[in-house]
Amino acid sequence: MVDEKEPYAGEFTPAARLEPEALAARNKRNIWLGLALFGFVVLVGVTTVIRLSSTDLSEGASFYYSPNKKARAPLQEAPALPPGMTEEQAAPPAGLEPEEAPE
Amino acid sequence: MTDAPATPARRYATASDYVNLMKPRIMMLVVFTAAAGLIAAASVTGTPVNPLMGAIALLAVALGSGAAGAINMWFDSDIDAIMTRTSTRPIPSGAVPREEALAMGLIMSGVSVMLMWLASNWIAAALLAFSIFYYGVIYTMWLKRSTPQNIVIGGGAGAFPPVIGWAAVTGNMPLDAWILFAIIFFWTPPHFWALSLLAHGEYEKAGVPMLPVTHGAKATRLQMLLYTILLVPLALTPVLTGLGGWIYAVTAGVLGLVFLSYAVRVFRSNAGDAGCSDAEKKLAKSMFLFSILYLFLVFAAVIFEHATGLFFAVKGF
Repeated sequence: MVDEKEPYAGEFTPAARLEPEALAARNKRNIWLGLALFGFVVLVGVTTVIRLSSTDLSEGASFYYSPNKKARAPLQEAPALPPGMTEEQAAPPAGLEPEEAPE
Repeated sequence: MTDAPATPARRYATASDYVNLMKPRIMMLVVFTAAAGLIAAASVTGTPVNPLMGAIALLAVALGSGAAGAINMWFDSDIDAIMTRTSTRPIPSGAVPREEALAMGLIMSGVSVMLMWLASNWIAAALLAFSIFYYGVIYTMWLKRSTPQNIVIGGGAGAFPPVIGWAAVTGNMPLDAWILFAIIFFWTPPHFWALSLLAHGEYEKAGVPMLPVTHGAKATRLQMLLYTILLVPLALTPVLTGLGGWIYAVTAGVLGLVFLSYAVRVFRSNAGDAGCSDAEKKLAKSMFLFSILYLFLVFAAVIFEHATGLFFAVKGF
């Protein structure tokens, strides 16, 4: 005769139950483990921030990768002007568009 | 491994059991010597160090030391259970299962090396990884149970921290860093054998071929004296290279003479022999304790001179 309330009684071994002390110890360990993982994430974050803050993120430094951007040489400083030439004289004419680089 | 003892009664592990698995006292000395290397490197080379990055690099060294300690306790749990001094450790006492100790050691090894790489450079990270391997595999799994020179060669593992600290700042390992390495390397045998003179019966019971077990107490006392004779002048070489100033020279010189006097007295005693007196046992123990103080103060002098700027170079060097 099958008990309608517990039709599978005796067919499965009962789930293991931890003693209260074991449960409390496990919970405590879990808290420490969680704190350790959180600390690790914080440390990785801090080192990343410090490294990035001391890294050149300007476009010319090619720090970021972009599929649309062609590789380019790092920006170079303009050479010094010849003696007697002013910056206005050296500047390109107004409205001059840069030429497209040949493919 | 020797035959495993009966499974100990299980008890519930606390956080302190996991801390003990990392050998916190060794960890403190490791971090301290790494800090000496780091501070000296920044001062000698004039390389600026971000304090937070320096602290994270030292934390990585601490985690690496803890990881190596956990791996050591995992492998040595069978002999730890046999020796009274180590029978209360987390694994033989039944608090932490062996597999957990191994898992903790391996995970912490990875975390520590990665943190070191993030906080400094790949050379320091590689050195840290190698020192964990050296202690966990070369010393623990191979040398410790196979040769009486185990702690001489294995002492290299504990000597790496100042080199790691130096490399974390500069990315290289100059002579000064290796001098600090050599000081710890030559300090290890008299330090450890002073303890093993007192506990050689336990090592014998566990089948560990420590020098007092294989060659007797007299040969061990002689080796202790010889290593101390090498160590004392070696500890003064930082003065020649400009790493140590007057404060360091006086500290290393005076402490070296005291250390040497301990070594001579232990050599002339019967410490470790069957039937040696309590006073002789006490002398060996005093030498063991003084050796810890010696290393601490010698490296403290390096830190003091370079951290405070109170560096007075010895004339002529």
